[in-house]
Amino acid sequence: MASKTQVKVVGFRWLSSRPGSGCEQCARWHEKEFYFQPQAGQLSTAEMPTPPLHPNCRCHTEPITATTVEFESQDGKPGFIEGGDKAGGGYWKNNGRGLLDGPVYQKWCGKYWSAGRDTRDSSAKGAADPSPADDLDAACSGHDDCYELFDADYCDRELINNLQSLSDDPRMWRNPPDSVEDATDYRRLAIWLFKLRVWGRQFRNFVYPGLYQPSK
Amino acid sequence: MRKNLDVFFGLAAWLVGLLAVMAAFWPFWKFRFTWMEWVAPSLWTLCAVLMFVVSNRRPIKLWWVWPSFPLAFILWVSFAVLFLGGY
Repeated sequence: MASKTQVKVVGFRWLSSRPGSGCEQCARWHEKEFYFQPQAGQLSTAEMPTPPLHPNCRCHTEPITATTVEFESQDGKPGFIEGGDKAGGGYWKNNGRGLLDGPVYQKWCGKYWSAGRDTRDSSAKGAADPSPADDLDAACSGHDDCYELFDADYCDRELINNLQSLSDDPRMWRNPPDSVEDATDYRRLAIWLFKLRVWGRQFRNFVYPGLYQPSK
Repeated sequence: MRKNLDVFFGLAAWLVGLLAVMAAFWPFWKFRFTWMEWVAPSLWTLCAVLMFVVSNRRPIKLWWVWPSFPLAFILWVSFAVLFLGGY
């Protein structure tokens, strides 16, 4: 079974040059760890001082890394995708989903699909590393976050703008995808799908004013 | 040949539909999405219109071309199915 190993920096560890006999200013930080996304009880990188703290200071930081291994099935499917058929760049009817749930792409693109799992299934594990796989996946992740804070219509329009701002050639993206064909197809499919949703709301509001009310 | 020109247009419509279905499921060429998006629907419509225009038969005899409609419009039929399903 093929696998994809990803190593990423999750924070920094402060190391004093002379932990036992150095100055107090540096010694207090020795072996303290700072994280980009701190859990309870952990320090944030925003609180980390930047060496050198004083002249002749030889303290330094070293990165803290986390390794995730994402297994792929023999046909190249990501490990969190079970079953399903690929069409239009995405997988349909995977992970127990129905045809009407639509296609999913990577970890975040698709209805009720977040971090590689169906959110309606509380026992589903999802992707080992929930961070977006590429720029298209990141746009979908941002769309999910937007729904937490803003109105659905606003978020759908933002997603359309974000998708349209991506280059037509996925190889030019800042974070390019593994499959250029799948990313190209799914991006265009998603743009059309959300345009039709936005137009549908506009039409329904035109026919029956006040039918659609912003939820936030 | 002129007598059966309508049949050829009907077969051409079917071919367009089958190619659209192949484009949906197999990434065999670069412009497959464009094909599904507007090329196949336009070509199918053209073939269907030409078929009825040149035909000397009763339209009911050309019923067999209609099942190719959802194939040629597979992208739009998929969207309609999703929206009807509450997407």
